[in-house]
Amino acid sequence: MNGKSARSHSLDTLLIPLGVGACVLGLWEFLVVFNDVPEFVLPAPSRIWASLLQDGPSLLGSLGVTLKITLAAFFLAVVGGVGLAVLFSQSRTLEMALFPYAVILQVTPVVAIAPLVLIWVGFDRAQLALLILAWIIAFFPILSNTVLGLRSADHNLRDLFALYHASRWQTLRHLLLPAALPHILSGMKVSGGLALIGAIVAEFVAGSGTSAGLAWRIIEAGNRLQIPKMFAALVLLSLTGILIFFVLTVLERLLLRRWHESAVIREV
Amino acid sequence: MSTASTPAIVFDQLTKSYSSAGDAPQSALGPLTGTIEQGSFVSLVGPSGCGKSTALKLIAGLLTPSSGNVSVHAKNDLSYVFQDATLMPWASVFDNVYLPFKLAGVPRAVIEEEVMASLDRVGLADRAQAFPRELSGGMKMRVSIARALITDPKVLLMDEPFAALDEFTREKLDDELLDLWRAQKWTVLFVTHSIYESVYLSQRVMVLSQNPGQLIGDVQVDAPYPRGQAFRESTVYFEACRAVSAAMRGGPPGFSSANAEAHSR
Repeated sequence: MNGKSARSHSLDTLLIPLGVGACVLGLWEFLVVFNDVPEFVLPAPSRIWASLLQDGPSLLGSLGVTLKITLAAFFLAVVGGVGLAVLFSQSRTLEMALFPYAVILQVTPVVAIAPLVLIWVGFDRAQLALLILAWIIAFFPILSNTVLGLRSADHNLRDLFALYHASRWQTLRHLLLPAALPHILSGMKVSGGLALIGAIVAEFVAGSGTSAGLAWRIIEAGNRLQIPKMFAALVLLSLTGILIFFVLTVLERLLLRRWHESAVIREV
Repeated sequence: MSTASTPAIVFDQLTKSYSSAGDAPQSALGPLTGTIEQGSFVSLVGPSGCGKSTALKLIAGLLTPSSGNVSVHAKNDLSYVFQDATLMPWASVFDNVYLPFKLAGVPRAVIEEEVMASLDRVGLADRAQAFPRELSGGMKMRVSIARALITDPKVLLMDEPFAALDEFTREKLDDELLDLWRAQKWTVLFVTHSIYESVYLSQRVMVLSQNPGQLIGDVQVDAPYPRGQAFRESTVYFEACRAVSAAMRGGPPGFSSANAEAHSR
């Protein structure tokens, strides 16, 4: 087929889910109004929208706080995850020594260790505790994906590099890292969402007064039975998650489009 | 032809065995003894699992022998062509060919003309900025050959380079390879499992047995180059194919081995 149908296909992938969303929202609105459901149980979409307009500015401020922690945690997760994986690729002993502890860090529920971290870091530095907790959650997918990616380099290419007397650094820079890039990027896509979840969960656990993030606003609204406001905050949260995913997907396309099968838009 | 010239590669009681955890070491190759003359085109034929690739890797120094040794006249002027084109998918055709010099620290600008000349030799100068996935299998293999040739090697090791290609493309590349070889006269050691391809290309076909690979036949193909379709229909071609085939089945090395060398002991 041709480019025109490819474009209409990509339009479909946008319109079909949007259509489903509109139908669900319509049904939701109808059911709430028709059954006269009280606002504190389930607010109608129109009510949530109104709340979003009304509380939007103040919620956005809180979102900014959460987003700052999320992005910092994500950035450190990428640096730490890729960095540690590179060290592992250079030393099998180091990998054997440390990888199990990375797994332990990963499987430990963040909710369970949040109070501890908060105590260790100190309540006066709650932001730092939140950062650490979000990082713990976001870090592992990048580490494990990068470790896998660094191992995935074609063994004939490795032989070729050896044949041309490539140094360790050259092999890493020109062979292992480029080969790992698709894996690193897919780890980042998982991790970006997890960093946001980590920041929110950590805020929840850290509790009142420690932060002015979006999670705290959700708790606050819940305590005051301001359910529409709660939903409005949730909507903002989802939109942020989607935005992070979208940005990372675009980044992936840009970096891989010329060579990796996953990013090739096939014109069949 | 090629009787009393200098050796390019000498095998001396060369063996390689692999050991997997717990098991006794499995002998993969040898003992292999023999000489490959400089400037000659020699094929190494045998069933899969006969240690052909192992032999090439030993020559290239990518593996170390279990016993015996292999000496290469021009150890540092050696290029390797793999069965797959083995290109870096993230790099352009130009950058793939430039790789050996990049790793040697030669700036791009210095070597640009040579890279383009090398691509020109394999007919791909106009695809220098393309990426491997945009090329056909035959084109990728040509890029791989351009990369192998850019260092101006004395010895070219080829590990079933055209095995994955369709027959039409393979025959075309066979002829292109022969043209390049006749112009440059490197020593070529060409591993293949195709009897026909080995006879068509080579001056000499060495036949390896299976598990472990030992020399069980050594067939000279006395026909001038350039070879073409007429050669494929000639008696020399036919009889050499029969001799190689007989050797592979374990029979006597056959009639065309009048000047063949002593086999491995």
